[in-house]
Amino acid sequence: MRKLLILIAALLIAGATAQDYVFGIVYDAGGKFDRSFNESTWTGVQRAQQDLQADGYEVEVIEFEGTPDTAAEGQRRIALEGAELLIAPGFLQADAITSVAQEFPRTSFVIIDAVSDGDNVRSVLFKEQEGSFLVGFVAGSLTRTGVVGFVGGMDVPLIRAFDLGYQEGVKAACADCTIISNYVGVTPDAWNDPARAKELASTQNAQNADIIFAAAGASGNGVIDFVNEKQCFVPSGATRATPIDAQLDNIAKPAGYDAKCGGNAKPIFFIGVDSNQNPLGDTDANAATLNFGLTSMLKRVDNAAYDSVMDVVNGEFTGGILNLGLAEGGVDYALDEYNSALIPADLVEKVNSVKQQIIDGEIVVTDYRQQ
Amino acid sequence: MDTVILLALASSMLRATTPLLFAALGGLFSERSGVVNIALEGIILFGAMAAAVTTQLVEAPYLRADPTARVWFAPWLGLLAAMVLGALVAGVHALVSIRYKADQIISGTAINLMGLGIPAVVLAGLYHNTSISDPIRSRLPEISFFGIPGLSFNVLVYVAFLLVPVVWFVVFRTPFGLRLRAVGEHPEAADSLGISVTRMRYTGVMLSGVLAGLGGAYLSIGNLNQFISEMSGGRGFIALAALIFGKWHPLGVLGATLLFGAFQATEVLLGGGKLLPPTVVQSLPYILTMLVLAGFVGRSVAPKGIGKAWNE
Repeated sequence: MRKLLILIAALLIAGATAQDYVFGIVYDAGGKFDRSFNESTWTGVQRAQQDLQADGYEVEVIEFEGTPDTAAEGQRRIALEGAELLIAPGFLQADAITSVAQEFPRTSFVIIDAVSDGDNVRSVLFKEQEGSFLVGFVAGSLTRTGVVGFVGGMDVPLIRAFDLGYQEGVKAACADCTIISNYVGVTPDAWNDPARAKELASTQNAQNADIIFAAAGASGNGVIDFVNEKQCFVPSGATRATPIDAQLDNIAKPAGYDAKCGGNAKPIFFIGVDSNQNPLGDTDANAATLNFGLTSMLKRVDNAAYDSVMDVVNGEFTGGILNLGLAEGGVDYALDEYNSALIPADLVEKVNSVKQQIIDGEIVVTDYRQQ
Repeated sequence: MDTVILLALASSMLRATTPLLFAALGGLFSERSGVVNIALEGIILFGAMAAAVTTQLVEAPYLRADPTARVWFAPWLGLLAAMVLGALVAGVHALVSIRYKADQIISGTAINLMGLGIPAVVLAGLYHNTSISDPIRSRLPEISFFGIPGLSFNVLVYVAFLLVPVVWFVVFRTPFGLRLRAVGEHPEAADSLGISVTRMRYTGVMLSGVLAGLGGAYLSIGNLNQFISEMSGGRGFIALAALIFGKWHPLGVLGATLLFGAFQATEVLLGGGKLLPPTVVQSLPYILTMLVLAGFVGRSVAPKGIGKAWNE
């Protein structure tokens, strides 16, 4: 029996040393393919793994899909298996990382969207307000009613930061525009209540909002569904001319749109969040026709994960807090084949110059969390 | 306030009321027969999942041929699946609490927990993630509201409100309803008259599953186009509160769910905490229910045999 154990141990060690690098990811909720945060982390690590393998390294990625309660256990297990780096997407793991990082001082840890203590811990935060400012600027430039909406998930400072950045962006493009902002709720239920988010979107639309930005987790699907289903409305009150009018003339409409939205009806749009949600506004599986996703506020969790892996490989990993904004490529707005027809070239130019001004510090976007 | 917003609020209220009404009318059958059903929340989730997954699987082969196809029968099969799974899950509750005489609250709580866990497993198997199903294209049809332009509701909204008189008739004007109420009020007396208490209670609980399942289907394929984990958002519990607030009577339930639906709709407008903090509005259904139970706003008396196992 003892010999057998030694044999197994020897095999395990041999197995472990056969790898050049071992990386770990611990998911706390939502699972690996949540089409958001966790999946972004995985994509980044995956990309790093492929790049390293192309360079001839043996790389293993250990994953643990758990719950907020079991995350600490998963972190320990992966650290025990000799991972050089462990990435924990999600603020729910912050406390667990602080204690596990103490137990494994030679392992590097990355926590995303929260701050954990320890010299071997990198806490990655994002300047959500900067990305939100850009999509707000796009919304403010293109709204024809002068009214835009914001639907937040749970009312927490993080989402308020999206809200405030968006508001400032809208105002920068259109000083007399109105922003209606609503939150789904004040409990974690608010992330999973698309029905309520949909009602919020519908009421905002009744108040004349023609572009709605959803930063509400899975509840945001309710906003997207509202826009995709309704597609257009007849604004009450005066409208203004914006560059989108000329763009719309040149875009083919999905089947049935013209019958539904003749006369004075104007299309409505949503703005997505975290990952590129533009394709979700494609109602007829054809990117060339009118898309109801105007743009998306991107949070490049994948880049943060990729960079962490590469830093470990290059021996440049440092602990501490990383605050990723536009300058660091941490946040951005989405421009792809789905929405490029909606956003005129001179607006893209303007947005890019706004982006540069934020990077240069000429425009300072308020961070709700630091007020 | 202009008419557009008023109209939006009114229709928002009716949509918010719909899932509550389904679940509360379902709870009425169960509780009138003497079985507490706090499993409504979980059954809504099972119904929502069954509807979305079935619809998605049925329409998938057609969408491969034409990505913009609408498969008219897919959502109806989804609806059927929601009712069947709702009845089955409620059947588990019935089996545990009627046949094995377990505590009805514990059994219901277990089902609510399963409503969080089991969909995650199913989604992981089908869609490689634990929280969201693939969106469907073929949803249940919308029907115009008396031809008023711009005002239309999902077919299930009409069904929910039409169910109120139906349930009233069944419970108060048919022999079945009389027996159902008898086993809930005084099972011994009903038994001595030759009514099978067990069978009536099974029927009551499973009917509640069918209706709560419909409520779930409304959330996933009526109002939305996919299942999202935990999308019930406490509606099962609010439906229970409405059942108590409505004094276990279909018309009372209608009034209570409309009131709670109105809270939700106006909260949207009050949102941002300008007039009232949203937390206050959100807790109003529960506060009102407590007041009713305490006897401040008219007395609400539960069926006498409720919560007690029946020993033959």
